[in-house]
Amino acid sequence: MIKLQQAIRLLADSQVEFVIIGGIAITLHGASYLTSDLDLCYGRGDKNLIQVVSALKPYNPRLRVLGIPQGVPLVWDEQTLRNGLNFTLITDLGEIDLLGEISGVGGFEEALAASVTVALYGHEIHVLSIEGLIKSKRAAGRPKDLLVLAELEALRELLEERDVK
Amino acid sequence: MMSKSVTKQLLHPQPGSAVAVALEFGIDLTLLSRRLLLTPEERLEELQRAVDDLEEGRQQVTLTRQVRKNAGDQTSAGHPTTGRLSS
Repeated sequence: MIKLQQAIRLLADSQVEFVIIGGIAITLHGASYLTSDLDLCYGRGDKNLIQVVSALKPYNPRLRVLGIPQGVPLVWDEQTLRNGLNFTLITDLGEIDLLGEISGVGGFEEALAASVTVALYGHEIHVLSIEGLIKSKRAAGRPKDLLVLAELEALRELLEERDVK
Repeated sequence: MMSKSVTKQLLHPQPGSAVAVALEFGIDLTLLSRRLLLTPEERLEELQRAVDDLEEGRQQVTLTRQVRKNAGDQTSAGHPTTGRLSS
C-alpha cells in the first residue's frame, strides 16, 4: 500500500519533475476512486532521470511482476530509465508507477501543460487536470477507465459552473 | 463552502447535464458534494485511511479463511474433539 504523503513529499523535496496522474489525481479533484498505487508522469531529461534515481534509490525499487509479490530486482540507474519508458515499481514506500507517456495526452511536457498545481504538504504539486484525466481515460478505453468518466465529467461541469458564477 | 449554483446543480441536476448523467450512472452525489468541501490534502488523507483500513480488513479475512481451512482440515483428519474418525 502506498504511503502517499511520504512518497509525494520525497519526490517534491528531491526536486523531481513529475505530474500526478491516475487514481490519485482523480481523488485529488474530488471524485471517488480507490487506488493503492501512485501513478506519475515523469520528465525524461537527463537531469530529472538522475533526480528520480536518487530520490527512490533508498527505498529499494523493484519491478512489480505477476506471481512475484516481492518484486524483481533491477539495476536502478539512469541508463535503465533511459532504456525503458514505463516502470511499475514496488518500493519501500509502496507501489509507484512511473510513466513516460500518457495515452490521450502525451509525454511529460504535454502532461505538464495539461496539469494544474495543487498545494500539498507544503509544495505546489502538478496534478493532471480533470480535462487531461478525461482525455487519458477515453484514450485508454478500458472498462475501468470508462467507469470513472461519468463522475469526472460531472466534476468538470460543477467546477465550470463554480468558476462562471 | 460550496457556491449556491453548485449546490443547486447537485440537488436539482438539469436533465441531460453531466451531473444528471452521473446520477443516472449511479454516482452518489452526496459523497461527491462532501468531497468537494475537502481540501486536496484532506481527500488524500481519507484515501490513505481507507486504503490502510481495507488492507487491515483484507488481512483479517485471509487469516479467518486460513483458520477455517485449518479447522476443516483437522475435522476431516479425525480430530478427536471435533470430527469423525477417518476411515
